[in-house]
Amino acid sequence: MKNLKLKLARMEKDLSQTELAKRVGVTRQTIGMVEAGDYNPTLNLCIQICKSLDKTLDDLFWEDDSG
Amino acid sequence: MKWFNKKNNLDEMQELKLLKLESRGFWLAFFALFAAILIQIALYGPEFSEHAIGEFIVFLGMGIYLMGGCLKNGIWDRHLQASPAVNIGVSLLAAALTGLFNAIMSYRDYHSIGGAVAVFIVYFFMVGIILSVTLCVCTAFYQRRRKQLEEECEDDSTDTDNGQD
Repeated sequence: MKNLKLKLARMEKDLSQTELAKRVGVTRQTIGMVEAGDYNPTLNLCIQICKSLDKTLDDLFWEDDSG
Repeated sequence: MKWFNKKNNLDEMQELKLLKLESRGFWLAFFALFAAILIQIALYGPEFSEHAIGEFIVFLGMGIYLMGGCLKNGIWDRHLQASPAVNIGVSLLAAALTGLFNAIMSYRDYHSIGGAVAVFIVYFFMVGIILSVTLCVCTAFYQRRRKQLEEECEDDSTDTDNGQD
């Protein structure tokens, strides 16, 4: 399932995938795959992404049952 | 040396992919070696050891490394249960396949059905018994190791809980 919340949060911060990838210390491909829902990141990477985007884990990675 | 970096150049996704590729490579090599050994046994008969000793040592080494690593880490199998019934079932299947293979080789070389049946029976019982005993010993070791690892985890969590209190 695509992670649109992550994509939106990144765009709100005006960051490209490459810039976010650089901040959290991974490749652009990994960020792309997380956003596309093709890769489940580790908790450590989730936390790094959240810190970089000033969001919480719930904001970016929690799936609502109704959604 | 600028071309070599001690630091891992891969991120977690790439590391995971590389591990999967390495795992596939390992199993490919494992079964390719197994096939090569079987083919050389079929080609050379009892003298196969003169031709395939290298392959046999590498194959045995891979198997022992994998089994030792799994047992040490309390891992058995993805799909099979560590139970006497499953062990006996697997042993019988392997014994039957080994017996059949050797019976076919025997018939090819000596053209005697009686001899081939005798070879089948000998290999079936020999491999069946050795494999059953080996698997039972490994299962016992695995269960003991798993219990030990679980107890270590329980001790750690108790320490943490006490620390928090």
